[in-house]
Amino acid sequence: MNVLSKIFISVLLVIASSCSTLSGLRKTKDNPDTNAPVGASVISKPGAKSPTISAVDEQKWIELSQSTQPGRDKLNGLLATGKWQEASEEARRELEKQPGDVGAMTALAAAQAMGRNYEMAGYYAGIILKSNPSHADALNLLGLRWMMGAGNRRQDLDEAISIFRKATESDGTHFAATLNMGYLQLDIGDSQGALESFSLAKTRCGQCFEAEYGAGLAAMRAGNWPQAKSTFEGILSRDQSRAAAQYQLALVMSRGFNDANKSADLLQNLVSDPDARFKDAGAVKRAANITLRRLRATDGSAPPPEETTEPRGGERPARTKN
Amino acid sequence: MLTRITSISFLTGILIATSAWAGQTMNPLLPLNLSWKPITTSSILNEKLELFDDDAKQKKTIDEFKGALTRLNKNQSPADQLKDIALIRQTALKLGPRARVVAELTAARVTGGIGSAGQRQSNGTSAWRSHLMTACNIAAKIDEGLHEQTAQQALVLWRKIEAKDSSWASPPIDIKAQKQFKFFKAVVERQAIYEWSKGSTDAALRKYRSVAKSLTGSPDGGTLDLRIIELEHGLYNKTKQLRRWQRVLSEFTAKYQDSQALGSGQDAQVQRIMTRILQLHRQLVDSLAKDALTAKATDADVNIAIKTIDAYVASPVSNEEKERVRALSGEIQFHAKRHKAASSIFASLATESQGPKSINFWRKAIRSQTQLADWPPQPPWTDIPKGNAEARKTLADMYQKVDVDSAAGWDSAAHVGLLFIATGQSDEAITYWMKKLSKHPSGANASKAAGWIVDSKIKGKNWNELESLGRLLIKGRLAATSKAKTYRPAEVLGLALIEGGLEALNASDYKGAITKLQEFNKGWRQDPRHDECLYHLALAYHGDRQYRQAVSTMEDFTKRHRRSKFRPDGLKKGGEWTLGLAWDDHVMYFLEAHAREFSSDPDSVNSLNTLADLYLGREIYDSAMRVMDTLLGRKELDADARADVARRLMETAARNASNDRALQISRRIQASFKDNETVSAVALSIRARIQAERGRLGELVSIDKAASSLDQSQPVIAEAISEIKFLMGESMSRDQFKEEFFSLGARDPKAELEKYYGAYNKIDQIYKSACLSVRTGWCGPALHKTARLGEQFVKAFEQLSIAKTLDPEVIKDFYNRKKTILETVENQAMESDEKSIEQAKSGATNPDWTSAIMWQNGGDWSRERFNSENADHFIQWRTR
Repeated sequence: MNVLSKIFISVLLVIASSCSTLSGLRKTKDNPDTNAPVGASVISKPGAKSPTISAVDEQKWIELSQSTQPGRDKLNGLLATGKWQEASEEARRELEKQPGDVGAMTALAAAQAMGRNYEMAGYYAGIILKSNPSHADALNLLGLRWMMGAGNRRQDLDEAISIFRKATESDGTHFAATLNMGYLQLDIGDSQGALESFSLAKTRCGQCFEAEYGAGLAAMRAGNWPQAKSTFEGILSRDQSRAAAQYQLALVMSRGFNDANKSADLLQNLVSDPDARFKDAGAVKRAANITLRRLRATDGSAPPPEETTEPRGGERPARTKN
Repeated sequence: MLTRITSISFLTGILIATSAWAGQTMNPLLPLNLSWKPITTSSILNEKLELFDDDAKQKKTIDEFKGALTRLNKNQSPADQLKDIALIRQTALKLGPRARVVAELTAARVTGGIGSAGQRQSNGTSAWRSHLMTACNIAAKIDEGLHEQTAQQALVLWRKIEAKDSSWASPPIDIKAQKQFKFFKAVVERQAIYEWSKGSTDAALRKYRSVAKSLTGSPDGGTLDLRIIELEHGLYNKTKQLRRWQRVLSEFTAKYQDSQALGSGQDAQVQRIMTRILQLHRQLVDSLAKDALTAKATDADVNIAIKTIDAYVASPVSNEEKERVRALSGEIQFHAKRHKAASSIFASLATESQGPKSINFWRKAIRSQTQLADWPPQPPWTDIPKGNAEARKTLADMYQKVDVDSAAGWDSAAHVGLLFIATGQSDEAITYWMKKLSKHPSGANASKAAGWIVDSKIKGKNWNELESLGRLLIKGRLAATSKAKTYRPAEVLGLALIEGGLEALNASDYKGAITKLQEFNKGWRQDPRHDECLYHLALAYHGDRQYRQAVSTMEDFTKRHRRSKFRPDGLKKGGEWTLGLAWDDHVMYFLEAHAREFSSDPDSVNSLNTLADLYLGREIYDSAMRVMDTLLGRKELDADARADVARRLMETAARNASNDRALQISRRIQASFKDNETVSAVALSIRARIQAERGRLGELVSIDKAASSLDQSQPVIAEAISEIKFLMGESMSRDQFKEEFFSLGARDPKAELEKYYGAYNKIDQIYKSACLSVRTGWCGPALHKTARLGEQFVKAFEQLSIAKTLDPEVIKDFYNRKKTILETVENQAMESDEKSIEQAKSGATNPDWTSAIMWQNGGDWSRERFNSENADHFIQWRTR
């Protein structure tokens, strides 16, 4: 499991009470809902053992996943808890009850994506889109196929962005594609585009961490250090356990404000974690430790060349497919 | 004198009466006592004569009177007799009317030649008639008793005197004047008999009727009535006056229907009389019927017979007898070709009777009704005549009545059905035949009926009923013979099942369709329509939401029937269904077969596209490439779609096939897409990647040269050309400017500087040529790489030195040039880095190069650790 996924799996959501999109659906751990609302959206990351955003508490998903009663609830539970192979089987059973059922087919496609089989996810999403060309969840999964596919050439990424955009436009409540578009724009260096995407995502997900965090990164990339700083500080003010935000704030202080001391303090605090406030932050802590050492070694200058990761020839480095 | 007629005399009377016309004597029925009785004064005069004794004058007269009487009772001479006769008549005048009666009677005896004991003693004279008449006249004036006594004595005397010559037609006294006396009726009867014997039948019968009438309500009246009947019968036999005879029969039938006709307690006799009447009536009926049934019978004969029968039937005959003669009537009507009446009579009889008798009557009714309906005796299978609807409906009803016996065979049933059909009641015909077939599915007519139903059901598309018929035929092992053909039982059921199944399917009655088609599937595997069955059975399963069965059945269909006309749709459906079920292996099976076998079907393009996606998803790249290759050959694809497929194929081959195959595919596609610069550009870029990997710079140069003619304003082409340039740069820079190569040795130092700088410049230019007027993803990486190249060049170049023993000018020029070159390269590298960062920040390149550029050149450490392994991406789904 890669570093970032571990970071995000460990991150729990703080959902603003003003969230319009998930109003009534999103619950905090202190106020969990034990029943999955009909039509509720669930947001997960591939490989994650619990949803990134969901209206139902984690324990409920586990219970549902372990249910002896087959059906959509169990399927949702399996998906939410990352049991994508079992989810696939359950989804097929659901499809056998109602072939072509969009919900079950979406779940099957989502399960493939959960298992990082993006080609199959895209294939099943394509089946949905034949009859529902504007199905945002399916468009999102198809976009992931282009975004995460084996080819991953620039044209593929453009296609992915185009599809994410279509998903975003086709469903005013959908925001996974908006987030995906933002992070992809961020990764290809389109900071402005990313800022716009995350801005939109924030309105849809109720200032969710993923959108806020992306917006902070985009601000960093755009060199808008004050905005980046305030964004990460804002995240931390709402949830001090956000290790990634603490790490990025340290980088902002170092690069944007030449405040190596502040940056080092933040990193040191993250690494040592005296208040034990950063939960499941191992990967971020390791990155922070390396960066802290670099800061001290280079006095805030660029990291040593041997640390770079450079793509081969005409190919980008293959992305991990678990 | 007059007694009741005994039963013996009654029967005797009948015998005599019936034989009267044979010349035998007819005995009277009413008794009449004509035995001899001496004429005495005591019986007539005693009392009165004693009264006279008080008168002395009278005494003498009485004595004279008695004396004369005494003498007359003896055998006297005729002269004495005349004298004494005169005396007694004379004295009697003095003695009174009674004495006169005695005197006249005695005078009649004596003049008639009869002795006092009744013996004939002389021939007598004719005066006796006058004396008898006088006696009676006188007695009539005295009293009834004497009158009766005198009249009766007169008759006795008359019969003695005339003996054999006496005729009841000419009695010596006025008979009518005696009608109040009992014997009168007997006399009249005798007169009647006499007249009858003389041929005066009407007179005789009048007399008999007269007497009978006077005895109405008594047993004797019955006896006389019977005599009358017999006489009338005899008369009829002789004269054949039918109407008269009928009237008589009717008259007496009516009379004797009353059990009290002869008074109380005479029921038995009444019954006997009625029996005789009916017997005679029956004789008449039978006789007339016999006549009416002859070939020579006229309408009149028939009419009479029928009318007589009707009358007879109206009489109190037994039901059996009524039935018999009504049947007879029916036969007469039939014989006279009066079929309507005959049919009606027999139908009525049949309705009133039961069992075989009823059936027999129905058959006779049918015999006539067939004529009325103009219906052939044999079932007209080949040509059902038209018309006569009402008569045929009736005939159909009759045939149904006959067709009740389980062993009745099919003749009647055939007629029934055909008659229904002829009268526009085909449904009724079918219902009838079906019921019959269920019990007796055998015989030629059954087979033809079944054939007719089959044709009808096929024409009417009534498959459920055809199915029922088919099962009956199979059960009875009966073929169905129609005009067109002969159906085997299984053929009928099979047809019904598959057509019924299809019908049910069309009506969305999936369970019904499954039931029928399943049966067909199991039982008609060799049937030419088995493919159709299996295909539609799969559809039915699918409609019934039995998806697993639907798919397996469709698979079975496609494997069994490779030449079926339903095959393309079956494969498409199979693909479509399994696509919805996400049964990927089945999708491959169905769509592969469809695309392969029905390449002319426009839908096969969709199949191929789906397959391509699925194979790629399943990482079955050979198949994916094969499918895409097939797609390229499809004319249905427009130019853009073909180009997309071509690009996809080349990219797939480049990533997943061997380099040789990828090259081969790229070259082939490039050759076939000469007019499509976009595809050509992608092909060249892929070839470039492979040649670069192989380190074949020469090939890259050739590729670059080929690409140079393409329109760089198009983004895809620009991207490809840019990549080629980048790859050329990469190839050329490989192993360049390593430190060990920077040993000038004994070579010309400045010339060496220029040589290395020239090499750098060349590569730098190649890299920079990746940046075109159109933004591409390779410009940033190329600039980044040329900057790294410059750094490497500078690093190696800085170490270059020359021997201090050389000419100072040479040394000075060398270092000045070296410095200039180093500054130039460093500037170029910095400039390239700046531009590469600009490129990266503009979102022009891919995430990995962006990250590398940003991390290495921009000091951006925010993402470098995370995005190469796992980009941030999210899945969203709904719980319902």
